[in-house]
Amino acid sequence: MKTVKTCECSRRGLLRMALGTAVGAALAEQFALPLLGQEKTATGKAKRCVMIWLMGAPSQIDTLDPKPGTETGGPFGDIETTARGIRISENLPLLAKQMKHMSLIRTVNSRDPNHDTAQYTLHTSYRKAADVEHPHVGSVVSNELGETTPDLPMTVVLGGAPPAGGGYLAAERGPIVFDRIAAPAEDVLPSTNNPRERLQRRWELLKASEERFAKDHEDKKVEDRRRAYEKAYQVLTSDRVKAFDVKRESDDMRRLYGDTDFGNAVLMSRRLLEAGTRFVEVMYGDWDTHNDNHNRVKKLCGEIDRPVAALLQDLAQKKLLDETLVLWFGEFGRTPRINAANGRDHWTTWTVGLAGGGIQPGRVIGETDELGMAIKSRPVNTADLFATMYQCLGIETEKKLVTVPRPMKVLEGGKAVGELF
Amino acid sequence: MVRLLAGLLLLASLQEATSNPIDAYFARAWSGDKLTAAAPAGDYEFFRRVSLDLVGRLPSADEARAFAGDKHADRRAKLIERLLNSEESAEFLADLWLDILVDHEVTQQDFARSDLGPFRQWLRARFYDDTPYHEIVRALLSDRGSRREKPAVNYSLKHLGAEQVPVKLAVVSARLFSNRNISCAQCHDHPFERMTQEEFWGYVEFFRPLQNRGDLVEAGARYGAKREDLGELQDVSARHLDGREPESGKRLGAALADLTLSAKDHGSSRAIVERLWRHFFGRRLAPPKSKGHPALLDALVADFEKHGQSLRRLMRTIVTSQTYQMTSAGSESSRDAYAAGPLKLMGAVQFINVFTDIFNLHEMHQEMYKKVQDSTVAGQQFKDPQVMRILFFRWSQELLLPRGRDPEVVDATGTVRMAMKFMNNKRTTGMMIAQWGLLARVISKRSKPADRVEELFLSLISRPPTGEERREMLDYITKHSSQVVGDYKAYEDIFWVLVNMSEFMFNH
Repeated sequence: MKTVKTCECSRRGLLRMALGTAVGAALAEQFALPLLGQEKTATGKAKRCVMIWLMGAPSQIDTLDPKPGTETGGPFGDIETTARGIRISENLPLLAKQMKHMSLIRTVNSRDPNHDTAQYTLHTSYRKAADVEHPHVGSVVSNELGETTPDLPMTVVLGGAPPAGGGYLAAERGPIVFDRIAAPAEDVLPSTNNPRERLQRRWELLKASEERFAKDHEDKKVEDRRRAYEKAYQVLTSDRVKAFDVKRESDDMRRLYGDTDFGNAVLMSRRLLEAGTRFVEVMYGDWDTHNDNHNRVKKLCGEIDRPVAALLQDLAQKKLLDETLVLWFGEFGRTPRINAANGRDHWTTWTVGLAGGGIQPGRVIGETDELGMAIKSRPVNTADLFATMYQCLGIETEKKLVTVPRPMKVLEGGKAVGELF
Repeated sequence: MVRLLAGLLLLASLQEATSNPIDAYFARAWSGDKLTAAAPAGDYEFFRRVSLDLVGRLPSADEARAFAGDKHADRRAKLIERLLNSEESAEFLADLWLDILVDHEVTQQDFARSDLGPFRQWLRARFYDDTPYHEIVRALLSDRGSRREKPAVNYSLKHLGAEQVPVKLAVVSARLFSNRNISCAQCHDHPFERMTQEEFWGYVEFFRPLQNRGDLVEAGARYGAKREDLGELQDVSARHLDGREPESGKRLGAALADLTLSAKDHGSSRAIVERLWRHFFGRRLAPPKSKGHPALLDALVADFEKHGQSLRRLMRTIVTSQTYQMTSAGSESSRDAYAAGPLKLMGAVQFINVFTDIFNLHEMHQEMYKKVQDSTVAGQQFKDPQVMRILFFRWSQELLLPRGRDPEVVDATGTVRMAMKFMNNKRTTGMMIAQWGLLARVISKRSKPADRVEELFLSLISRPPTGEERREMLDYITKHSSQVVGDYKAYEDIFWVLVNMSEFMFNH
């Protein structure tokens, strides 16, 4: 399998791009290695991010790291994609057509095979700790990149409940979670019994009562709740709330995304990002296939293939892909070996997909062996993965977000995967 | 042991000073800090708080009126006794504990895996009888056998999921019954809990032989197959968190219960005292690594153990204290020092109970229940009223609260998302109408606008409106009502305002 350009080459390319002149290039020749040895040059092309979170951890072998015809490969074949040299499972034919926009890291690995703690790590970059709650990565992103508009939530989660909130960042940085995949906009869009004029009238009456209670109860909890209400009211009454309304898209566009619950949520994520939201996570599926893996994965792939492919195609056509980082994510992978229940259990090496936001497309980082049992080259740990994401977004990972209860950096350790830039 | 002795000594000195050890402790603390305690809560405020805390619901308007009109000096003590000994209290505690032990987020698989109906019934009966807490713990950790005849086994059965090694069951058990957070030590030696991976896996060993074969079985092969992912640690043997090993020849479950309940740090009692304290005060009494009140915790633990581990007695000690009965009006800093009454967002169980009343979800529940009873396809298990209660709860939760909440964290009701749900969601605001639920009852019960306003205030925030509020609301009704008969839109607006108020959403 063909992997990637050498490190050397991309480092130089990176520096050349950063300096942008012939003089710069000459300087780069001279200083490139010591300068880039630290890998801290942020490209920061991405201004927003969408994370497709496959709940329960999908089988890498039956999706993005196929091993057809081997004893671990299962019943599925692999297919060519529009990225030269990259083959993925036949379960994802439409994504295969859009692979020219995406790169894969096939050797993401951790030591944590438990859903709750691993989900936490892949949402925060940190291990779960008893004494501190870390923020959702989307909260860090909107905290660092700033608010584009007060009229929309900057971090949104659709279709599930993430394992992290605002953590030690300010309460209003926490992701706003719409967990019902079937109707994520139900809380936001106006309804017949509560049109905007009536909401405004009710709000005025509510405000007076709130002030009296807050005066008597000078307490952060009361203040936080009041702020949450103000934020909610601002979003509900703003014009930008239309971003939640996928019905405003053309029929063709909705068909492109599949017009299913998940398809509409992915389409909504694109609308939100266009309107100013910094980070959208769309959660989907029950990929925890300890039993009946093949049928379940096939069905789930059928459900996500079209929307994810549509998102890449749509963003590329709208020329938004360069500024938008798209992630295919989960908390770990699944065993290459197939268990007695025709299932796959937890496995801590897996594949992550990245597209847009300055990621060089069509590359594969790292390789697993023939059966997918061991990493053959270029292991990438979860901190490296986050460093890569933050580099796309131009976020300085050494920055301390807070100093209380103890200094917390954006990211602890981790080195961006230079071959992706 | 030293700690318990110190606790007992402090307890003795506190009991000399006044009848309530909590008040005695804080009286001392305040005199040192020159703090002034807040005034006692008025009857309305107290009644609302103690109802939410002990039976998980709001007083009705009639109950609130009657209590405030009662002039007997012992009315609070009498109320507390009535609530503590009520069926309702047992139901509420069963729901809270179901959340804590197995969480209400049950799936189809969970029902196949365990029998939660008998489990809820078992919990309910334990709380109603005020069974000594250590007996409850022992049953949960060591009972084996039939899921119907030994309902406590369902705690383990629910957690024995797809994992090959019951790590989750071990982590939850350590937290609940040994007051230890060990989850991080699974993957790395834990810096704060001073715990190594070896100790972690040693504790997990107690749970390793458990198997869900329909009933809970402790399989003979104690160490099972060697596990690849344990690496060098695959040969660990069972050891409790304090390093003690099980008596040889004893079943591991029984050994676990013995070791847990005899631990020198009194972890089981500490955990329950802390949990109940947090239930009533919304904060921990002695949080690790920060300034708290460990001496009072020791004293309460000593008192709890001295009196047969009665949960009812512990709750009584807390709610009869002046510390608990102060008004919540006051600043955060005085609350931090326990010099003002508790203020916390409603917990999930309270919240769901409250809205089940307000939105008249009972009616929908009964309809669902009848359908299941008449159904020929529903499994026998689902005809159990206890199971139906769990399903109602789950269904209401889906309707009212975001998913994925941690039952131990009660702040889900203060978020932007909840604000949107209660200000705007068409399903929730669709129930805030004059033809439905509480508002329909109020409109048919009272005819004068001022009486209706008062009834709504009493039903939702458990007090009558102030003069200013009454005027404000009546003005609003005048201004926004048409001459059309049956136009109750203004009342719907007032109802909407009341359920969105902080005074409503907080338990204060």
